Amino acid sequence: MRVTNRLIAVVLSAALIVAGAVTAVEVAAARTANRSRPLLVRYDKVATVLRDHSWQDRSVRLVCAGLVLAGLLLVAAGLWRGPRYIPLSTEDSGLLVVTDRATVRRVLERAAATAEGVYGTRAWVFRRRIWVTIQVRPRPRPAAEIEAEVTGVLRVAMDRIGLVDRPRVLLRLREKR
Amino acid sequence: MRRGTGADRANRVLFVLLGLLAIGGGGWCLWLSLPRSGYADQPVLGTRLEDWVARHQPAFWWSVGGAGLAVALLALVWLLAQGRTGRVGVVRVSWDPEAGGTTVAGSALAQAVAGDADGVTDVVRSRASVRADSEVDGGHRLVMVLTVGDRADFRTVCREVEETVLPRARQALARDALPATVQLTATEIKPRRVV
Repeated sequence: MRVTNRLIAVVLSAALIVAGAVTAVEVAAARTANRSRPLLVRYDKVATVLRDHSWQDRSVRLVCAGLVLAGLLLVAAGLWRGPRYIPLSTEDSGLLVVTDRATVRRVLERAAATAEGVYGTRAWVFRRRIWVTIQVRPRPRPAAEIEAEVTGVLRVAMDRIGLVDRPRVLLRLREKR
Repeated sequence: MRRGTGADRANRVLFVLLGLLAIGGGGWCLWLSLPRSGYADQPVLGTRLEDWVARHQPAFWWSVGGAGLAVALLALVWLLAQGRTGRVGVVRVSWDPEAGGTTVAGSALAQAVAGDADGVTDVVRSRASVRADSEVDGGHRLVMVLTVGDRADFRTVCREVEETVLPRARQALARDALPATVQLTATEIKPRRVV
């Protein structure tokens, strides 16, 4: 997202530089050199188009709606915080190790999927809780047995990750009929 | 963990400000296009506005020109800020006023650290960089992004980084402490098919 934001910033700043510079040059040329004709941009034509269109015209409304949409996208890009990082425990005080929620989710889903009888896994990682949903075939192994195995597997996986603040892992089973 | 450089934070603030400006401007124009506003059948550039501009001719146009220039200059500063990544070009190893100093290129150190990190168990990909951080001793922070397999033991990876990668980086810079941040990401490793 940081790279995308940089690209948006480059495009926006370049557009603002061009627009601002052209405005300043046109004003200076018109006021100091007493030019009656535009220097760089045919703003007289733009003014004619604006005089010919009323506010209720479809094209004007579309441009306005586009401006609102672009504004909403910009605000969304500005407020988007990116992945949430979770600290992992380390011995070295000068070392900060972090991981993201997607990684924790992937590791737990992968671990749960290794149990026999599990044919689908999905995990949701929150700050205090992790929900893991597994889809099981109750035959030939009973669901309770699969649940017990997956609980153990998830505990081992959480130990392997080594989060500083370990959230509670809650397991949900969905049986295939 | 700090999120990005000053330029990244400035980008986010400016996006929100410009976005709100666009929403406000676009929303106001949409309101004018509604029959309820009373301006819906008026031209976008009406005679009232043109008369007002004609009455304030010199002041209005010089203000517009000045605002355009200010916007162009501020946007230029914003554009130049995009080139700052926060990476350190040169790291000082030692300094003696009489004998001179020893420096190492930040990219060379980062490459060496990434090479060491590649040797850590379960690490499939590694990237490293040396970044400026005024909040820590020495003013530098080593940042590593390690991609590991999704069955990796993260604690083993952390321990190996602590015991092999970091001491070597600190030794190279002749420092007892070099603050470091490691970002661990898991990826799915598909088993290789041997025929």
